[in-house]
Amino acid sequence: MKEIVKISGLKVGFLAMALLMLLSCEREISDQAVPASFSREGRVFIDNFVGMGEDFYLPFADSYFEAFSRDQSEGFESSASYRVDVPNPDNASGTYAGAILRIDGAGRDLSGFDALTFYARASRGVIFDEVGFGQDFNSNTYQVNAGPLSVSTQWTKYTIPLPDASKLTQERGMFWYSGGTRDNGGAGYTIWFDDIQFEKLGTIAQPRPKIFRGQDLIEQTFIGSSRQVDGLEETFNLANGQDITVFPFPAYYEFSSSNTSVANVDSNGTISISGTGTTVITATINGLEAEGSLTLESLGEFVHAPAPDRNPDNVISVFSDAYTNVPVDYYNGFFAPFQTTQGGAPPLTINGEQVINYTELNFVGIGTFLNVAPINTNQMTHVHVDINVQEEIEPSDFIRLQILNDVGTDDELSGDYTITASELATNEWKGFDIPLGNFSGLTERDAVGLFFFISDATITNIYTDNIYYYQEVLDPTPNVDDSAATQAELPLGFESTNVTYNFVAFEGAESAIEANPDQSGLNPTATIMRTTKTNGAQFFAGTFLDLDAPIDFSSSQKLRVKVWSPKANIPVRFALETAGGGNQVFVDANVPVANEWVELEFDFGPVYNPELDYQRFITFFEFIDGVAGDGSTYYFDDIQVLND
Amino acid sequence: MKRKMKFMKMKKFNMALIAAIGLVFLTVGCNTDENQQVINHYTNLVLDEGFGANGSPDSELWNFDIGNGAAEGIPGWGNNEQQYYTDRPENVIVEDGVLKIIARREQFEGSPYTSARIQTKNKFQRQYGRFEARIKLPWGQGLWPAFWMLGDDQGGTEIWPQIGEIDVMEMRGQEPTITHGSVHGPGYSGGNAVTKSYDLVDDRLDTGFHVFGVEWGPNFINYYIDDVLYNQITPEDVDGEWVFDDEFYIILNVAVGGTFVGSVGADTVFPQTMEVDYVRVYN
Repeated sequence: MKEIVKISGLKVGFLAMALLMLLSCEREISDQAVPASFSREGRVFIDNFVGMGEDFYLPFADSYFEAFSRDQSEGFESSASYRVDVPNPDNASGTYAGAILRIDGAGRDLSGFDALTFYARASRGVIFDEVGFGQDFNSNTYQVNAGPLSVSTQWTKYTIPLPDASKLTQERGMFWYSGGTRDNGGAGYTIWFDDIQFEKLGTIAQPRPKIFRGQDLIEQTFIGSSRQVDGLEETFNLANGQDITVFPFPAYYEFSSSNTSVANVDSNGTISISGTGTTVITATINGLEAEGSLTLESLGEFVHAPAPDRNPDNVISVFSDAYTNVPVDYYNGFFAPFQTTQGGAPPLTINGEQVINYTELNFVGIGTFLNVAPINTNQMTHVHVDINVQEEIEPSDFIRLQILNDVGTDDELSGDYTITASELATNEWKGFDIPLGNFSGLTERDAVGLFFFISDATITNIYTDNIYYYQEVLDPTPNVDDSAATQAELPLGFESTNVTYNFVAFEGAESAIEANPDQSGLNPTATIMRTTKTNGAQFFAGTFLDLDAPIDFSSSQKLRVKVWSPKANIPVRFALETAGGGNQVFVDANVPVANEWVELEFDFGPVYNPELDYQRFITFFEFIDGVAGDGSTYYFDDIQVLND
Repeated sequence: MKRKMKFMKMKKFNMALIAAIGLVFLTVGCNTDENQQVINHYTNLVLDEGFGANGSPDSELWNFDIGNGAAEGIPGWGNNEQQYYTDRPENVIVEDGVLKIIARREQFEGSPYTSARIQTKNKFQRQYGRFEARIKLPWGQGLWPAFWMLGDDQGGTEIWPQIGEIDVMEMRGQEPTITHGSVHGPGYSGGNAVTKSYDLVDDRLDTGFHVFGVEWGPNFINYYIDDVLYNQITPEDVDGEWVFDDEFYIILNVAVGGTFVGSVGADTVFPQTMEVDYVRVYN
C-alpha cells in the first residue's frame, strides 16, 4: 500500500516502516518550542486522527451515529480519509450526519493559527450544510459555523478563517459538521474529509465583521425586555481572492451600549433594557468595528395585557403566559413575497412575560400545520386575542382575523372576522372574545393551521397577546316557565296555552310547537319548538317567530337559547329583525354536542342597533353555504335575555 | 536614507514527497531558473518622493491624467477600463506621508467609477537606474493598480509600443497575493508582453506595504518585490527590438475593470485605496 503524505510549512519527523526525511522548500514558519500550557498542535485529521485522545467522536443526538468511518482506500493524496455517509432522509436511525470532534483531554492553543483548513470531496456534487469548529457540547463558547459548502467530486481545499485566534488558547472543539439531503434531492451521499488542520496561512485578510447582518436597525422597546444581538457574521478575503463568510458566536465580539442606563449587553450578546431613553448597540471583533447597529428607544415600563382567568380545562392556547401553549410552527410565517410584517420571531420577553410585537404589519400568520399538529377547535366556542395598537388609528383602519382549516389540503377553507377601528385604541390593550361562529366561512375547524392578522397596512404596529381558543362554559339559565304568559314575548318557553305564536318556516324548513321529545338534562320542560330542514331545503331555510313585544336589550344584549341537535359542530344562526321584518342582525354559534340539550349564547351587543326595536327572531340550523337540508330535525326552547 | 539592496537568492520551491514502504524517496522540485544573483548597480539616490506635504501631489513632480482616455484617442485607456480619472482629493490625496489613489464606485462624467492616475512625464525622466516604490495595494475583483513606466515619445515622433513600457508592478485585485512584472515593446506588447508573476503564497499585497522595484540597465531589467528578485529580462527574452535605452517616466494609477482584470464583482468593496509610502530612484 502506498501512502502519500502532503506536508506544508512544517518540519515534521515521521517514522513508518522506513526512515523518511522530509524537507520543506517553502518559506519556513517558526515552530520553535515555546513553553505553553496547552498543545499548539494544529493537525486534527491527516489520514488519521492526530492527538485527539480516545473518545473524540460525538455525533449529534438525532443524527445517524453510524455515518462516520475512516476510509482506508480513499484520501487526499493518500489512501485514508474521514468518511461520512449521509443517510437517506427516511433512515430510521437518523436522517442526517453530524458530529463534533472534541479532544478527549486538554484543549489546544490555536492562537498561532489563522484558519481551519481541510480538503473534501463527495460521491456526487452536493451542498453540504455546515462545518466549523469550537463546538464542544459544553458552552460552545468560541463556536464558529460556516457553510453551506458546495462540494464536488474532486478533492478541494476549504478554508475557514478564525475570527480571533487569540481567544482560542484552550479549545477542545476541533471540527464539527452537519450534512443532510434537503438541498441534495433527498438522497444520501458520501463525503470525505482529509487534512483537517489549523494553519497559519498569512493570507486571511480584509475582515468585515457584522452584527444584525450589517443593518442599522431601529426598534422600540420597554424596561424589562431583552433581545439578542443576532445576525453575527464576518466575511474574509482568501488568498484566491474569494470571500468567505463565517458565523462566529457572541464570545468573539465585544458589545457595547452607548447609554448603559438604558440597556446593557452581556457577553452572550443578550441586551437587557433597564431604563427609559435611547441607546445604540454596537460591537467590535478583534478590535474591528462591526457593521450594523441597533438603536433602541426604550419607552419605559411595559403594561402587559390583563391576565386571562379562564379555566385552563376549557382553553386551547396558542400564545399566552397564562396557559400551556400548543406547539406552533412559527409566530410569523414571513410569507414571501407580499408580506412585510416583522416581529414574532421570536416573541419578545418583557419582564419575564412574552408578548408579540408585529411591526410593518400588512398580514402575518401563526402556523400550526407544518411540523406540529393542527388545532382541533371543535369543542371551542370562541377565540380570544388582546391587541394594543402602537400608532394613531384612522376610522377606516381595521384588523381582520382569519382562521384557516386544513391548510394545504384540498379541503382548505377559511373564515374571517374584522375588528373595526372603533374597537381598537392607541397604546391601550383591547381584549376580544369572538364567537368562532362569527368567522364567516369557517365551516370546518377541526384542523386549524393558520391564524392571520390582516391589516392591509392600515395599522402597522401592534402588540398582541393571549391568543387562545376557549369553550365558553355557560351557567345554564333556569328553565323558562311562561305558562301564565298572555302574549309572545321574552322570556319564551312555549309553555303557555294562552298565546298564539305567529311563526313561519321558510325555504324548505318545517316547524311546529310540540312536546319536548327529550325531557332530560338542561331542559325537562314540556313544550319546545321544532324545526326540520327537509330534504333539499335551502341551506338558509329556517323559522321566524314574531313577538308581541320588542326584546328588552336595556340591561343585557346576550340572548340565551337552549338547543337540541342531532349533529355536533354545526353552526346555528340566530337573527333578529324589526317588526314585520328587516334590519336583520345575527350571531352564529356552534353546537358542541349532539343529541342532548345544550345552551347557546348569542351576544348581540356588537351588532344590534339600540335605536331599533327587535320584535322578530329567526333560527337557522346548520347554516352552511351550499349545504342543503337533509331531513334533520332540531329543537329549541327557553329564549331569554341573560340577566347579568 | 539609502536603502541597501541585499544580494538575494530565490527560495520558492514546490515540494512533493512520495514514500513507498521499504523505500526512501526524496523529491525536491526547486525552480532553479529563478535562482539568480544580481549585482546592485545603482546606489545614488536621485529621486526621493516621500509625499511629505499633505494635499495634492507635488505639481513640480507629478502630472494628472484626466478622463476616460477618450481625449487621448484611447477610450477606456486602451484596455476597456471603466474608470474616469480625476484630480479631485476624493480620488488622489497626500495624507500623513502617504499618497492615496482612491477608486470609487460613483457615476461621474458617464463613467461608473472614478480613480486617479499621476505621472512624471517631462518632470522626472531617467535612463537606467533602480526605480522602486513602497506600496499597499487595494483588493477585490476588478481592481487593477499599477506602478509602471513609459518611454519618452521623442516629441511625439514615437508611439506605443515603440516607446517601450516597463511595468514594475501590476496586480489583479482578485489575486491578492500575486504581483506581475512586464515589459512591452514592438512585437511583444499587450497580451504578448513579456511578463512574470510572483506569488507571495503566505502573505498578501493588500494587508501591508511591500517594495516593488526594477533595476534597469543596459540590456537587463531585474524585477523584485521586497528582498526577492523574481525575474530578469534581457534582449534575449524579448521577441523584437529592445527599446529600453532612452528616458522613461513614472506612472502610478488604479484602474477599475478592463481586459486585464475583468469586470468588477458584485461583492467588490469600494472605495479602494492604493497607498504609496515613497517612490525612489537611484542611479
